[in-house]
Order: sequence, then C-alpha cells, then structure tokens
Amino acid sequence: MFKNKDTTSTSEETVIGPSVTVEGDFGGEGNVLVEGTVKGSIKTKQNLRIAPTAKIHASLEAQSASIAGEVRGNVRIKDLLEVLATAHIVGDVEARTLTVASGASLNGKIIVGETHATAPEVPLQKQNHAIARPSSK
Amino acid sequence: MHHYFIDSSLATPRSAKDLARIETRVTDLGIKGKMTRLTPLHDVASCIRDARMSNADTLVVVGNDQLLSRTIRHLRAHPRLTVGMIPLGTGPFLFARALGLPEGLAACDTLAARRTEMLDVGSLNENELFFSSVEMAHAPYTLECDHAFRVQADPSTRASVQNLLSSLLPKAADCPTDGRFTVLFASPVSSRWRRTPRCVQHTSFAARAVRIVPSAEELIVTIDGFRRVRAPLIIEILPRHLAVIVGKERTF
Repeated sequence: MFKNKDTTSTSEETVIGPSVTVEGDFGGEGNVLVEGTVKGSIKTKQNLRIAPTAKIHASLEAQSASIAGEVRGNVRIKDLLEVLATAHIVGDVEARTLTVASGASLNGKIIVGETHATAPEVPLQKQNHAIARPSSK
Repeated sequence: MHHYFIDSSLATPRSAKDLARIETRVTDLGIKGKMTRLTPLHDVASCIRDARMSNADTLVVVGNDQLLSRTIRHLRAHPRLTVGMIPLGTGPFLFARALGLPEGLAACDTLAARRTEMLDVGSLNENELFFSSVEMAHAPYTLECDHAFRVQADPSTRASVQNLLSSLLPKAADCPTDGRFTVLFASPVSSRWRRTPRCVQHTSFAARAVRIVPSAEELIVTIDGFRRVRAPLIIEILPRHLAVIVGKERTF
C-alpha cells in the first residue's frame, strides 16, 4: 500500500491496533495483523495473524493463519493454521494443516485435511451418466 | 491552452522577480497562457469558470500546497481539466514534492515535459473534492467503512483518511493510483523512561468509502491539512478522476 515504508509499519498491509475496535464484516486482500478487538467476521485472501492482545468475537477466513489471542467464532483456513501457546479458541476449526502448541486452548469441532469445500466437485449430470451406462448395456 | 493561477501571497518584490522569470520561461517553452492573480474578490472558483469559458485545458497553480488543494476542491464538475503546479513562495510544498515537482523556475521544464498521471481524489459529501487527506483528533467518533464495518478508537487517537500524504505518517506517501484510501489511526503510548521517545501504535487498512460520524460532541476535521469542516462527512474515492502533471521524482 505504501511505497516508502516507515519504521513503525510492519510487513502486514492491514493492521488493527490495540486501541481500535472493529464491528462488522472486515475484509482484506493482503496480510492482516489483529491486535485489537473485532466483532463480526474477518476475511482475507492471504495470511492472518492474531496477536496475544487481540480479542476476536468473529468468524475467520484466510489462506493461512497464526493465532495467539482469544477467538470466539468459527475458524476456516485453506492452508496452514498455527495455534500458539497463548491462544484460546472457542468455535469450530477447519484447516488443511494444523499445528497446536502446548498450552493452547481449543474448544470446538476440528476438521483437518482435505475438506469438502476444498475437494474438486464433480458436476451432478456427469455423475448420473456414470451410473446410467452399466444399466443400459 | 494553459491558464495560470497566481497565489495572492506572491505580491512581494522578490516574488515579482520570480514570476517575471517564470513568465519568460513558459513563453520560451511554448506553454504560455493567461495569468490570473487571485484576490479575495477573484477567487479560485470564479477563475476556474473563466478558464473553462476561455477553453483552457490545463490549469497551472503558481503557489503552495494550499492553493493546489483549493483548486482541486472545485474540479468535481470539470474532470477533463489537467492540473499542473509551479511551487513558488512560502511553503508548504509537500504535495509538490510527492508529485515530483521541483520548486520555482525548474518546475516549468516539468510542465513542458507534460508527464500526466490520472490520480485518485476523494469526494466530500458528493460535492467537493480533496486531494491528500482528511484528519480528525481528540473527539470520540466512529468511522463506517465501505458500508460493511465500523471502527471506533480511543478519543486520544488521531485518525486520517489518506489519499496521498497525512501528518500521521509524513514520510510515507500513499499511492494515489490504487483506487482506495488508507485509513490510519495513531495512538500515543506513554513510556516509563523520560528520555525514551513516545511510541506510536498504528492501525492501518484500506477503504473506498468512509463515513465519519461524531459520537457526542462536535467534531471538526481537517481537509488536506488546511481547511476545517464539521462532521458528519461522507468520503468516497473517485478512482483516476483527475489528470495531474507529475515529475520523474514522484513518490508513487
């Protein structure tokens, strides 16, 4: 976003600092760092980082994520989800790869690996043809 | 055809010499045009109307950032005009530096090169334009962004909706061609050590439309660092709305 980076800025394009509260559907296209409070939902196409100071009452969707703070809501990550030792998650977690550090708290249904959402879908008509052929012979 | 607006502050003998040199230089470069000195009775809006009546296609501001901001403010209804600038007189020239325009006589060569970029500008209440930033401080307020989410911050936090430059991050020019604002919040954090400079915690994200809603008290916001208006305000980005003559040394 910025061409000349200041010393205070980080590698994340979007930063929600500790003095800020966000309510609603927050969407980002780049990396997102959350240090404050969010209520609603967070979606990003890249990496999402939840700092230890963050309090999230929202559903999360991202390509990959690292969670060190408090999350109350469903977490859906397409690739790697890292749950750090200070994390506290209440909600369903879905990710292709999951790492959980000792000391982390996870309460909810956990789905790890290839999910229905990421698996390639076969069109319904082709499925019917495949079933109909043997019976026609 | 060019139309030059000369700032009313350029009435000193030294400025008269500089203006005479600039007039000679633009004549040599073949970009001569009508020169209008702004006065309280002959303001920017009436000058733009005169320029349109005389079929001018390029407005050149001779003065500082404030005059550039005052000119762009009135250009919502004239999107086909190209804007140039000759930084002259007392500053600030922060916008000029971000656009890559040298001060004084050297800017005439940049104008003659006519490297034009279509830049984003912001609209205020679907009425006026602003070029650089909208800043607010020391009052409780809510920002409603992109009709999707609301952001609240501590009253001590300063905030800025930035298109080009803002005083919160003066060294970091935003890109005015990306089709979005950068919304910045900066809150000071007190230090235990007196000699340690106060840290600043930043929040930054992108938005295309922002509504500034004061929570309780009156909220005055600063437009482009000069003009003060009262909230509530609706700010929207107009992507690539304004043609501006820029230099090689621009920051975006």
